[in-house]
Amino acid sequence: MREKVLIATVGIVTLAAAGVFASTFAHAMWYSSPDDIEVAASPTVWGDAASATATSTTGSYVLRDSGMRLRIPAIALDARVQSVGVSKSGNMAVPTNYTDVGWYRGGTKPGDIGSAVINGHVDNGFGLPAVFRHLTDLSVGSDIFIETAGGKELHFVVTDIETYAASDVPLDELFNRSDTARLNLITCAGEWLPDRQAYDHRTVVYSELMNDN
Amino acid sequence: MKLLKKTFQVSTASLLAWTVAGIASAQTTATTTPGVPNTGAGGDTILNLVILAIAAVVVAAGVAFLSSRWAQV
Repeated sequence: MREKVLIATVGIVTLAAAGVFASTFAHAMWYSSPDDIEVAASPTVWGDAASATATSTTGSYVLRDSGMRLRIPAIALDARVQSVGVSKSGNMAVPTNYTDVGWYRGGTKPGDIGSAVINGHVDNGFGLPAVFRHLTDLSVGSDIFIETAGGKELHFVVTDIETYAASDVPLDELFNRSDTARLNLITCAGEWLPDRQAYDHRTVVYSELMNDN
Repeated sequence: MKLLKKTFQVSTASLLAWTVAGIASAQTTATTTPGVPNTGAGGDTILNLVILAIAAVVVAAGVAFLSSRWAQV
């Protein structure tokens, strides 16, 4: 009897440890922190959920594919663009994984007059490079392309690259500048703050539309 | 009667204020600019590796124990 209890206990502990291993590995390697992805209730408040062309779900992770792709030849980047809203802390939500980028659908659509904003991770939970790791390798004049859901290609050119302390990012300039068609890319930079579970700086690449064909 | 009238006035004023506040709140929500996104996870590398290592050791020990018992049966 004692033997059976021991074996059962060891079996349960082993299975639990295997679960912890699998979950930790998957989150570090593939899935963003649940605290930073979009809150489930936000689509109706923050944007046009109908603009998303497809959705897929992995557990509580809802991936909204915008139908767009982002291409930056200078850093060999070609990524799917997810449609994102806001996280539960009120920040721009991030893509559900480390390989896609996220367009803020509560703001401007790429190609329209205004500031379209796309974010992407700089690294994953193992410190391995994520989609925007090499964003700082861009320079003024670099080309950025957005392929829209309708197959149209929008050509943007980098006009400025800035790194700010996270608390000093000029949000109005990032999200609300509406003099021309802009595309702003943002990712993390700087030092890791363990208490905030975040980096202390952000790099922003500002670009402007060069054509409308 | 006076009390009833006063209560009604207060209620009407409260309802009006609540409605105005609600509209203002709705407008604010729709136009609020979000905060900066948290687009990094690399700082958790060591913690993740430690968790993985401990979980792996526990799994390995558990499997070894269960295998040895299984062999005895």
